[in-house]
Amino acid sequence: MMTETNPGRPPSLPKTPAAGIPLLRPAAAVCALLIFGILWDAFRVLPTPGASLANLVRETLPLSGVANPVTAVILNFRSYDTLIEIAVLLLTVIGAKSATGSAGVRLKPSMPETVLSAFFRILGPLIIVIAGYLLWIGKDAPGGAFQAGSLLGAAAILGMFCTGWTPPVESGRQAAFLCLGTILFCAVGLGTYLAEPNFLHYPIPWAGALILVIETGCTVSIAAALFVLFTLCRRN
Amino acid sequence: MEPSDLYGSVGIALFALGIYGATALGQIMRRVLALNIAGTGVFMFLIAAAHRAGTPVPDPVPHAMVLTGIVVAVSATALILVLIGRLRDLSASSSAQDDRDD
Repeated sequence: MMTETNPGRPPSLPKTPAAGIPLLRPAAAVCALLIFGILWDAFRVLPTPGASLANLVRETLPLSGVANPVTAVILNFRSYDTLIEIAVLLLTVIGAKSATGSAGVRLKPSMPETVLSAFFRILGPLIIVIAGYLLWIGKDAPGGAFQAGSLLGAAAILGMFCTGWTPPVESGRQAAFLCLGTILFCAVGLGTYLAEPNFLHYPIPWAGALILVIETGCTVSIAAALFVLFTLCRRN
Repeated sequence: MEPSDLYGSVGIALFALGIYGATALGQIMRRVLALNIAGTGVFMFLIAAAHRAGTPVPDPVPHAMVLTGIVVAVSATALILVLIGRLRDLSASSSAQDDRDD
């Protein structure tokens, strides 16, 4: 319905179809209660000492190259899932960039505030060191690529706010950072496929080193992807 | 009742609440948030299920699945937000009606 635009009001989203369907809320409430009832009943009748893979993971942990069981599961035993996950992250960035397309990143470079800018000079390198520590400690304690990558992405966003820097729309370096994790992971997979007959089957003496290489690439890639997705969401 | 039973039940409740919100609410942003709540409920249930075995260390495989799930959920939410932004840009000239408040 075309009404006259009010120049003082920001553009609003179109009305969703849910607005006019009668009895939508009671029907949705009944469905939600049904879902809760069925799932809760299924959860209630599970056997009490639940089935788990904890013993299996603990037995094969010395062969995995790391000391933390969660890191071993993510990057060694179920490394194919992690490869697909990093590829999904890259696919999301590709989709978001193609959706914004020529609109690009419409961030106006703002005037850098001196206090925030000076504060970021201290905080930025500190965050990078902490992210490196999180990446390294993933072998022995909770940590690893995802935690370090999230922290680095947050640091990039913080730097963008504090110093007034805006990323360029098209950048080869940005594309290289985004693709690094997927490419490294696929390269390791290809190498293991050519060396041994199994894809992503690390040779046991090299497992720890390969995991570190993959994690470093994924950290850079996750940080770049989160930063790029954040800049594409913003509108000035 | 064990703590893991309580967390599992709360996770299932959050999932059902998120499903209700995703279907019944009117504004798009609230439905995105409801889907995120449903995802968080699923993660909570997975962590509770990992604790039920009675081994000294909880099962690490659901923990890995939750880590993967968090990253995928964040990516999907970011894509949805970018698409909402584009929808808003493209519909800026058509109407100025407010969304129904609910």
